[in-house]
Amino acid sequence: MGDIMDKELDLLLKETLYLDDNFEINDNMFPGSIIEWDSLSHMNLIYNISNKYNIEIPFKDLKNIENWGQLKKYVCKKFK
Amino acid sequence: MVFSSSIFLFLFLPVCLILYFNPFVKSIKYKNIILLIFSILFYCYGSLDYLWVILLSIIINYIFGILIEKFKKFYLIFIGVLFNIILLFIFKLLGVYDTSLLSSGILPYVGPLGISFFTFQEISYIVDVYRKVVPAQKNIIKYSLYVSFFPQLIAGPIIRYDDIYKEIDNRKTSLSGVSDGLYEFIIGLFKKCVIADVIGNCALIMFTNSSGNSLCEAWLCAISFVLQLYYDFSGYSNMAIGLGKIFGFNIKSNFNYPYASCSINEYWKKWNISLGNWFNDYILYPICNSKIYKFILKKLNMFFNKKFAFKMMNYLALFICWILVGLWHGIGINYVYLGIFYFIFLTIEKQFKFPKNRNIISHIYTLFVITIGTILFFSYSDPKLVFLKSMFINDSFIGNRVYLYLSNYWIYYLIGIIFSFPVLKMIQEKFKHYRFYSIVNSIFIFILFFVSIYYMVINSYSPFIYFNF
Repeated sequence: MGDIMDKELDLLLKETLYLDDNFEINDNMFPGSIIEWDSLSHMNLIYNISNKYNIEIPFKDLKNIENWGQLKKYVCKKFK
Repeated sequence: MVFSSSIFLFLFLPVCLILYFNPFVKSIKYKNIILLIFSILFYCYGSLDYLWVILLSIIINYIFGILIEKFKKFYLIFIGVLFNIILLFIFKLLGVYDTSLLSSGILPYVGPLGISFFTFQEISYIVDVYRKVVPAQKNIIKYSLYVSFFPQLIAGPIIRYDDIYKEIDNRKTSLSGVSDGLYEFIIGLFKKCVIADVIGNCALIMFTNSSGNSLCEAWLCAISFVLQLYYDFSGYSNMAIGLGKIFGFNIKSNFNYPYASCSINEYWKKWNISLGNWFNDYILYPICNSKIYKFILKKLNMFFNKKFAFKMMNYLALFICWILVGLWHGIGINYVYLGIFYFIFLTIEKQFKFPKNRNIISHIYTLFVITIGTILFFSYSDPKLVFLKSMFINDSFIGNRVYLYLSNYWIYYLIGIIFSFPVLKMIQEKFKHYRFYSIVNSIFIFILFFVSIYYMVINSYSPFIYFNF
């Protein structure tokens, strides 16, 4: 479950940021670390995640998430 | 009172430090009271007539913070934010109204100092209380200190309550903190008194006689003003951060070498960082998470493909955000154009993923756009378009003043240009492990301090440019 969701989320990130298929995503990436991931794309990402998994990510939680790995963990935990 | 004035450096700050660090005051409660009294005195010195505005704003937002935490009602946050916006709008509008009266001989309008900064801080506070990011502050002295803390009161950085409330409750001051703070303060003082003021004088003279400028003079003037604006504002931020460190507060950096950027997007992430983050969290985030935004997006998805609908809504959110960034600088059509100007470049960059690489061309493009934007929206050249025209279409090419200024002031320009890149940081990183580093660094900072004082004394009073906003 975790692995599948991990891959799903990576794919969602690629789709939202319009990244190439062969782009290597790593868990230490964060908004601003690549040119495609600006504040607006970040909002889109949150929107897409919220829609896909039908969860809400409150601002207070979002504020404490520092990188992609943490966001994935948060989504997995919340989705369960 | 500005940080780079004799009264601040030789009277206000020493008295404040003596009282704050005196061995009889050990409790943080009394230290906070001392800081609050000095913050109010600091404000009174510059804006006594409007002291009531900041006090009213503090009291109202303090009450709203408690009410919002207790009742958790949306209408409360709505009224609270509306109050702050109306307050800001009224005094910004008074500034516009008054400017039109200047010709009739009425004294120029000096509104409540730092209103753009403290209202934004207070909005962030009540919104964060509503979002449950922070607890409401029950102690009015602590809350007042958060809003009025003098190092950041009149020109930022915009401090979040979340970043500072634990330090208001409990902070430690140490010798290394004081020494780091003094170091940062002196760097800021040097930036302001030596680089910004000297280069700014050249810009002022050339702006005053803008119709007689040759092409090179116009460009030299524009570059001078761009450098002045950066050293003036970042110098102030350094001083604010330094003072914060001295008193045990960790204020986040507000500049990260913006002129070393290779795109406008990168530039705005590195210039006035606290303002950019504020707009992200309190404008862009609520817009993109609003029900109306999601509703329109859903409707658009029915008519267009998903990617296109997303992009349309993104650019709409970005547009609103940038109009508001413009209006934050002042009420007027010129500031709306400021927002549109940067929105256009950001949209182009986002749409075409431009510039693709960090290279000299992308760097020149960024500096070019920044220079034009700065001249159009921040400079005191009048009329601005005439000045801008003289930078591109001009009968005269070189002009006498280029030689005059470059031969007399080349060292200031050289330092100004070199240190707008992270050169000092690189030098420090390279040599910090050497044994002699701390000695050389101390000598260096002493020299900077005395040079700054010398320039402060010989130059006349020059306020910070960002005080206008």
